[in-house]
Amino acid sequence: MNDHRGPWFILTGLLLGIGIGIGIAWGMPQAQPVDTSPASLRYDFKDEYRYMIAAAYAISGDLGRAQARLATLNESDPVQSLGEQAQRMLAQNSSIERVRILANLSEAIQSQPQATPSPQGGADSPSPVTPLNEASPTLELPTATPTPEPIEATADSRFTPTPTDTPFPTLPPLPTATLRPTRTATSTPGAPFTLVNQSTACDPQQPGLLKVNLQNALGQPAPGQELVITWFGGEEHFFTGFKNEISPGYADFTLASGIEYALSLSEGQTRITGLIAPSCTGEDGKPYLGSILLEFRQP
Amino acid sequence: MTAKRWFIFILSILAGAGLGLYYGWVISPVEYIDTIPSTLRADYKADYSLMVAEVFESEKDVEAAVRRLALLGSEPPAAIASAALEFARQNGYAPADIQLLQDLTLALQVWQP
Repeated sequence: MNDHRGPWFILTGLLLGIGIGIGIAWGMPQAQPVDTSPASLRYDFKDEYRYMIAAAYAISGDLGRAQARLATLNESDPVQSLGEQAQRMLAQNSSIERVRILANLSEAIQSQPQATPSPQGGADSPSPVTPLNEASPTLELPTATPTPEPIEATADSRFTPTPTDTPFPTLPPLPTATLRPTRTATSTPGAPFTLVNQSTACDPQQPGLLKVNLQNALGQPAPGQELVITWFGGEEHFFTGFKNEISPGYADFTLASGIEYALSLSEGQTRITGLIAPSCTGEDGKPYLGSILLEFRQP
Repeated sequence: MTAKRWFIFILSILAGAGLGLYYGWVISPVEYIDTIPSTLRADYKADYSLMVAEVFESEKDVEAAVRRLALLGSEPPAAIASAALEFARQNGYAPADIQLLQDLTLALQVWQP
């Protein structure tokens, strides 16, 4: 090789080395991943993890903690994920009690005041304050371990940010033990819903839908409400709040042709019978099923 | 190519490999997908165990707790709960949370399948 070709061989070597380095880092086979986060879990394990978050919330009523836990799943819309899981569980004939647990958490998240910080950021955004280490400074922790050095929290390590020198350092104790929020009051307590409007619509894009909209006494959408639809030989449960893109108080159900349905809500205190999908005619003269629109409001 | 240039060439490859490893391991590490709960980091495992403990405190259903903890690995459920309790103690969890984990651990230790 000619010694007068200049320093290009250095660049060549660097590029070659970078390629080898990345190849090793990305291609090195690993027997099993370690130290993963809930965001990387397989979908069925994620469902179980999400269910446990909702179940723990149902017991403790600690919405802040539930939201922080949901944030570890790193989903863009946790409410939608809760809704999708609820629909899957309904399709798999899970018990209504289990579905209701998810619905309650979804409802609580949606009904909290807008000013409340919501930890939606996931792994790439600053971590929410997580009340897991909510030791009060006035209480002496029953532990002989030395007080951990305060370190900065990161999003992916809510409870134990992981710098390289210590395996499990912890967040410093929070300044107060009152961070655990009380259970958020729902926007739809009490009185049973009453039907304020019933109409039919013909939309060939959405044939045969029973569309239900619920509003509370303040005129706000009411998510997380259980609706029971029955027909001769069948019964289905569904909930408002799982189609947030339409309205938190919206739910729908696909009607079959020629079948009469009855809808009940408010734990059976409100019941609408005789629901039959109307027949509509398309521009091409072909018939299709129309939709029924029901609007309920709390007095 | 002189020996000096060969030396510099090899040195540049090593430097490049170092940069490549740094990029691949630190800046843009491999992201795992579809993992199983037993691979979760210790703090997430402890938090999952805490959720199980919270539910157990209300339900008092040991078998359900066992079934839920089984997601975290093939170790005995009592050992999983005990590890979570130890983690909670070492990392300054709230006394109430430690108590929940303690109750769960005790229940699992006396549980007979």
